[in-house]
Amino acid sequence: MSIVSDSATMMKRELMIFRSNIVQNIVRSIMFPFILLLIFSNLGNTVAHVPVAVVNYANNQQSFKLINALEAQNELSIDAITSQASAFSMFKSGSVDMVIVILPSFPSLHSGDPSVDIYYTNSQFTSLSVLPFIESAAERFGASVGGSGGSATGSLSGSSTTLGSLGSGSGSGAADPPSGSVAAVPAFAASGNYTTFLVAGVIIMVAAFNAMFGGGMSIITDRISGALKLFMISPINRLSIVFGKILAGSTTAMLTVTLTVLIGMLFGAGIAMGLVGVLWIFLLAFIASIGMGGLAAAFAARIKRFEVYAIATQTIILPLWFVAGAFFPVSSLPSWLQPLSAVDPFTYAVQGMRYVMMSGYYPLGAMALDLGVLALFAVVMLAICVRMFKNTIE
Amino acid sequence: MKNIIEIKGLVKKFGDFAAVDDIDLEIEEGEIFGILGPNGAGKTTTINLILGLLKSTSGSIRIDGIDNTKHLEQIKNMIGFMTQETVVESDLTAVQNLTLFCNLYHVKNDEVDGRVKEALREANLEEVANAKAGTFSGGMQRRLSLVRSMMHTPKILILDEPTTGLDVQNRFEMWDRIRDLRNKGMTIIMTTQYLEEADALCDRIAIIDHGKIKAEGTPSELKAMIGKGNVLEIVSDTANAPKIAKVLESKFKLKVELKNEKLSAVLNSGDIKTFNRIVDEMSRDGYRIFAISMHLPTLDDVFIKLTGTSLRDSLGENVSTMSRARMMGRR
Repeated sequence: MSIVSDSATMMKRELMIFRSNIVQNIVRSIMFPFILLLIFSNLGNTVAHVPVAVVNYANNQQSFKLINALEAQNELSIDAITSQASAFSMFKSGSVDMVIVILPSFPSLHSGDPSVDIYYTNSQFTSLSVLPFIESAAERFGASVGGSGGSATGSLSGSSTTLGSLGSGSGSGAADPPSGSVAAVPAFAASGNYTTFLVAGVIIMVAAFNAMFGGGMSIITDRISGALKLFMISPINRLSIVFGKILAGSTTAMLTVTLTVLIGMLFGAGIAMGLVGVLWIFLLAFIASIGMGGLAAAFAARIKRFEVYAIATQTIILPLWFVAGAFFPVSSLPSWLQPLSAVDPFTYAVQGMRYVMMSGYYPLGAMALDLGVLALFAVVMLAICVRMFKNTIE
Repeated sequence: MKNIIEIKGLVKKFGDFAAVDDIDLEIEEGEIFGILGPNGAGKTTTINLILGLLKSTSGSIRIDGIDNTKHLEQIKNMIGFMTQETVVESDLTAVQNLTLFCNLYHVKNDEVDGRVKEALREANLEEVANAKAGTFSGGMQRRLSLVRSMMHTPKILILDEPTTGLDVQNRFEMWDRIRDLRNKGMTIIMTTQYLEEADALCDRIAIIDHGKIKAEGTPSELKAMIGKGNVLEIVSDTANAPKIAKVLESKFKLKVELKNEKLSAVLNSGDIKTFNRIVDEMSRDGYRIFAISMHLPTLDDVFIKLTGTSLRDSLGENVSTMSRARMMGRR
């Protein structure tokens, strides 16, 4: 018999146990995301230092005043005042979340003329909340503010093709600035809000917790009860015991993820990509939870007691979660933590989910990076877990 | 009868400590073989070695002629095992429990239903087939555990303390089941901490202590080691016990074994008169006597003689080096 069918046997056993306590398990799966979302989505999300690039075509007194006024705002930090091409390449690479283009006509009294264009990405909820600051500053310095955002949206954003040109043509969209006075232009078709931003973080949290408390925990309970010994003396492949448990943990995590998405939508989160986005969320969460399951099983291979296991896993999982930017954008982390977020696999899962939920567009490069990192994480964790488990058997 | 298990020169060391120290055992097909020993004697280690959960330091175990480190799947399919603690999947139903074990042992899919049904009938659990095993009584769980260990129709069944924690009624029922299995041709290896259980159930017994086999044989053979007569047993205190021993040796010409405050000696069979005279003597001289009795030799006497402790209070007690040396000589 192959390791595949043996793993399936083991997985079936875990799922049967899960099903036998289904009510309790569902209540647990609901409570956790519910409470997290209830608490955190109601926290005042103060935003600081959204990175911004400014392109100044006006080069007049008024425009300098505007830039000074913007710099004085705590909510955003002007990283560069530069050419349009380099501003957009910064935007594209993610080093700024927003590009403010002050057009030659600034300050214009003609309400039909564009004088300031703002390009922003919605993959960070922060951009939306700083828009009012910029708009009011621009108005103060004489920019006409008109309701021509609609036409702006039509010209630059609203579809992923625009972004594609933004991405590949190194600013062909930028060469053709939209019209409008202060035109806030979401560069990606999106309706981002903080709840959506948060839900992505919570999904990865519940997936990870489920994987940890599914697979690893059951290894420990089975060892204490003696069931593990019975599995080991049966002719099934020994590794299939742990693989089956990890798979079952990740599968039940998907139920929790589904519930979290539903609860998130009740709280007002959206999924910009729609149903395809849901599939992406499942894929990202599944791979991440396989990795977490492997990590948990590696711990469980050595740790004999519940208490120690719970402490050890939480010590790992909570920092991973925070550093991944689950609550706040990674850019708001202290600088010494930012490198950690780059090596945190959760960062990539959360990032991917925000693309599909907030931007509605998942750039190929980001997709490859996110999936690649998560897959590598899963493979490495499984390898470590196999090694640890093999050692403990002897 | 052929030997279904042959163990030669088996050693298992954990660091410097030899949990199993050069054991030779031959277990015949179709017998109930009991392994007795105080806590920490090496019973569980021996069983884990047979089950292949541990790798031996040296020595070999052959099961039905096959080395148990080779042809693992074949070996595993020959052995059924019931753990000491009742390990049923308490969240699963009886049927799910049994089906799971069919799958673990790769029983062909079209045979599973039949075997599960048969096992439920065997264990008398047909009426609760779809109830969670966690709701079962201790006896029911143990029966489920027993049939579950045989879903793959093994040749050898290893039972680790099969009746520990059961009430008397369930224990006797379990005994009947074990005898039934033996009568159907199953080889059974069991450990137990109840000597009367070993006495009533086992065809042969090995007494293990400190990783070595102290004695091996049928219950009657082992009891014969004590002597032919009845056993006199006196419990006094540590101050008086040596004095009493002297009296018994000088006046009654008895060979006395003295262990702390406990004395034992073998009387000629049915020698009630000697016993009476001893009782008189003891009461006349006003020794402190807590208990005095005469009984047929039991396995407990054998056990005390061989290991220096009674099985039930063996934990933490040490065997005096003298009696150990004597035991070695006897082997």
